[in-house]
Amino acid sequence: MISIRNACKRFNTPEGSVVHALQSVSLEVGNTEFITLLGPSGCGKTTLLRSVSGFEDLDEGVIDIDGQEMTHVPPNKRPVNTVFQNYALFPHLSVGKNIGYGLEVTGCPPAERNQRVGEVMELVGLEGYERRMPRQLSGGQQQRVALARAIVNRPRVLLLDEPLSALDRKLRESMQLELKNIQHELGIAFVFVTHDQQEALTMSDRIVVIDQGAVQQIGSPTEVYDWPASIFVARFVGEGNLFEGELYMDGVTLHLRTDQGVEVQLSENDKSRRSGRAVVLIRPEDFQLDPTSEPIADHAVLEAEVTQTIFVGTDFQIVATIDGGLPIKATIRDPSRTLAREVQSGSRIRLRYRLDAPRVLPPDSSD
Amino acid sequence: MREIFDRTMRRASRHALLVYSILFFAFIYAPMMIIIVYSFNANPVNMMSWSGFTFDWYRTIFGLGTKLTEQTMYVESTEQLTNAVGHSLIVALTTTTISTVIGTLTALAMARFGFRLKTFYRVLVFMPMIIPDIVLGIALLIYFVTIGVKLGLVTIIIGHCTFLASYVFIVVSARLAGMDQTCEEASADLGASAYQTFRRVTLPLILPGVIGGALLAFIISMDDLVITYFIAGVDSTTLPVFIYGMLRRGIKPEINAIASLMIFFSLVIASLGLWFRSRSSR
Repeated sequence: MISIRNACKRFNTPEGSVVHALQSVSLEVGNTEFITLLGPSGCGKTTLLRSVSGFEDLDEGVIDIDGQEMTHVPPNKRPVNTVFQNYALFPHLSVGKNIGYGLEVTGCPPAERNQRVGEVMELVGLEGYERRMPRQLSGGQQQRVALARAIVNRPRVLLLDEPLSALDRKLRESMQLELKNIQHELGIAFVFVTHDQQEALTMSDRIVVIDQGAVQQIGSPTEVYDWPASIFVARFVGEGNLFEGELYMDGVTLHLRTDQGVEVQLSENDKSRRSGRAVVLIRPEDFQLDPTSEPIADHAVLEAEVTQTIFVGTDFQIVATIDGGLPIKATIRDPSRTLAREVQSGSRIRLRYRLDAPRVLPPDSSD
Repeated sequence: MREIFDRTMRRASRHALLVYSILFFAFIYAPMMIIIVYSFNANPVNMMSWSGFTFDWYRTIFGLGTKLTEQTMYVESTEQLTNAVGHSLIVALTTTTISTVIGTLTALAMARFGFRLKTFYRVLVFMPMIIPDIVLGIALLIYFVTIGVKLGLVTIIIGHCTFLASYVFIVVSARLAGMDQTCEEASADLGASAYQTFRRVTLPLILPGVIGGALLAFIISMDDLVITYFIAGVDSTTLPVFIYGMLRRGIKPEINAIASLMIFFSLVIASLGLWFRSRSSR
């Protein structure tokens, strides 16, 4: 188990200012957990990963692995291994030698080394490539070599620094599943760094959303998607319509009056507040087209004028404007594929949503 | 009509290019070819007029007997020549070893560590290459005389190292700039100590640069006249200084033979360098 407590890291920029790459980050990673550090580039996620692998020295804070303090232990003495973003394969060594490198430098006898190299090559699907040189491999194969090289030492934790970012989409999606399977088979913890929210949602047991060096939210993919803790998380994970305004109670129902004067109805729940400034999130897929105008229990409606209807594969995406000039996005599934003809630019639509779909978020303090 | 004109022009420009290329290479290589050809000329008095083929000049160099007997025509003594070649080899091999180690380590330090006044130190390392040879030669001479070191092979070796380390530094730095530094991190990450990382990852990756720098240092050291001329002692004449001394007493046919051998020797070193480069980039 990794335990990171109160990790702080500052960098001095050439301009003389100070960048807080990590601001008292605390995190626990379970023994067999797949945890993803998610955030935009420059948010500090790679710094956090590198401080676990030992390439970055923390200014403050403690890192324990399996109860042993690792904060100032050099990288070659830590029970963790890394899959680097650019793979960092040794160009002068064959695939077999690359994978066996970690065993060789730590003094593993040749017979055992060969056996273990063979095992991991089979695990990642590289049988028969032992004598190839790295430059003779495709990007996907190089990725597998990097993975095999990092797991052959049987680390307690595997760190992966955006390992899939150089692959094309199809290959990336199949590698996502494969990585998950390999993690399951090895039974060790994976700490995976990415800026791709889709990737994070697909693979993780838990996601750590990081922005400006600080943890924004830690939770399972569904928690992070359904109950974002802040506007940043709501924007970064998935798509969302955000309405900013003033909350008020009207009899028994909760309302938000946006700054543009649009009324959004929502239901109360234990996480929401009843008054004051707030931001309300409604996901595009929470909307349905409402052809009738009959009220349905526990539902509310927003009227809008269509700007654009786009077919994005499975769904249609409607971009529209609510009265008052607020843009709104809705994702509508229409198996008959006739939606684009029916809902054209300029037509008026009624977007219906369940009252418990909107989420109330605290207003952004930095705005 | 126009088509014929175009075709003619194309053909003409191709011919012009061919003629230009031949002239260009002739300009560069004609002097060397003449030296090699005349090194086989049997005429001992007038080098420029051909009077038959002979190996005599090569035989004189190596101290073998020849048909020619006129004493004045020959190298004063073969022993002097072999001594000079010996000195040159000792100096070149020693300076190559020392300057390759110093240049490589300096390049590694400059590439891997950040420190204050780094650019200033980089310029300091470059400087000996930029300073005119004659200035460096005089400066070294005055320095050695001032601190009371007797001129000899040691002073030549020290003098050569001062500027050859810069050449090695530049060649190795270029190689380091093209090297993926995360390879070193990957090595440490996999459990290798700093020494293991250097031995198994860094050194193999920069080796073509190190060998290229060493060969360059070797050739320049073998070839140097100006600096060596100032700091060589009486008993430590190197080959270029020896040839220069011969020239001052008139151009003799043996010089053609010595020059031809030096060209051949340099070609061997250069081919070695090229062979190694192609092998490592394969």
